[in-house]
Amino acid sequence: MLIIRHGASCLFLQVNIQLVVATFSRQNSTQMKQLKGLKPAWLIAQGFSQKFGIDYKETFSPVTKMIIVRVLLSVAVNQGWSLYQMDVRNAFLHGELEEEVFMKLPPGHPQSHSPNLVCKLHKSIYGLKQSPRAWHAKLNIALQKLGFTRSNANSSLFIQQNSTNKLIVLVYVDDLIITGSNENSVTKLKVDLQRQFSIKDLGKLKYFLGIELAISNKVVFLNQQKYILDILQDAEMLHTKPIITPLDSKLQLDSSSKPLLTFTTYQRIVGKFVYLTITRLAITFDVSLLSQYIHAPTTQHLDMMKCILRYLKGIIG
Amino acid sequence: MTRNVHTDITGYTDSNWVGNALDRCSTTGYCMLVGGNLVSWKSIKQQVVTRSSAKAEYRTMASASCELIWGKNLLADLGFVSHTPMILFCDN
Repeated sequence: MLIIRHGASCLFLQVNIQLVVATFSRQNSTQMKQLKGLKPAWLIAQGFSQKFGIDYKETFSPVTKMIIVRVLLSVAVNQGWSLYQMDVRNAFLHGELEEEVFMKLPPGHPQSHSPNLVCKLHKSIYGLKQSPRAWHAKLNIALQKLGFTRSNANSSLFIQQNSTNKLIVLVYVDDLIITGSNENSVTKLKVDLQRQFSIKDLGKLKYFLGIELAISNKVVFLNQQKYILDILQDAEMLHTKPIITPLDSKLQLDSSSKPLLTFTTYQRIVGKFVYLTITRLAITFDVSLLSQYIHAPTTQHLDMMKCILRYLKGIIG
Repeated sequence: MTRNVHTDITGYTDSNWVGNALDRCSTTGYCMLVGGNLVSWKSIKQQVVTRSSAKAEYRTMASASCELIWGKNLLADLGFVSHTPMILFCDN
């Protein structure tokens, strides 16, 4: 019960105040499976029970654009810098709350039935609306103490530079890409960060946001092969017959084709296509065409989606 | 992405005059290369009707230069200040 030990204190309720509800949620990740015999559970706040102005104010949290990631990769490969990756464990639990948030005692707590006892949260927990923002603010302060300045072009990009050295950190919520001209200062930064956060060193950059990266000193190769396989599996088209073009060049949209009755699969898969256009520019037009009908797809659009899936099957090799 | 040992910015633009026959709007298209590697691209229908292909082309170059200037500022933030002009290619 980490959260009760470190993240909150119990107190008696005197007056009526706004309360947030929390539940436990079992996580079925591979990381959890490694903890043999244990069945860990996350305490998740129900963000929808929060009230604006009382439990939370600002919730905006910046994230990196894909363009910035590509610029950074291009700069690193042109300068011959190595790229490293780190991952923060339970990132949101590090964030510190600016607001006073009171929470009902979590289910299973020995005194969860006593009506006047509540928790006061000191740190952000998963599920709270302001958690991403609180975590980003915390990391921002930590990096600025280490001598980094935040870039004006993107608030997730941090740069430390002096006359000889350059060190760049790019933050994507809890994933960090680190690169710099000096290997020693990268190592020192890793140690400094590990002192402050529970953070995992993933070594050289290999897999970031679902994109596989093959990096040598002359070439960076971006690939989403695993992601394509996941999409094909999701659509149950792993063993489909491949084709060489995503769509017919003389395609005529037929306004008389029947609307689909259930289209959540269509929406989910077209959504995944959008993310795939990061490395597969060839399907950009087809994806934009399908996206226009995401609210009311017809059988023809479903057939077009299947054509793209068969094309993807052909390019994964 | 390959190693080209520089961090210069180059832009390529093209436009499709009256790309949409229904509302007579043209299409903007550009891409930006940083250090010889493609990082940013766009293809979008223009908001206004242009009466000549030169004007459509000109509008495209205006949007592309915005992107290029943003890229130059980003590189300056990263500590790569360039004093040489950025090159923007167009198809006239």
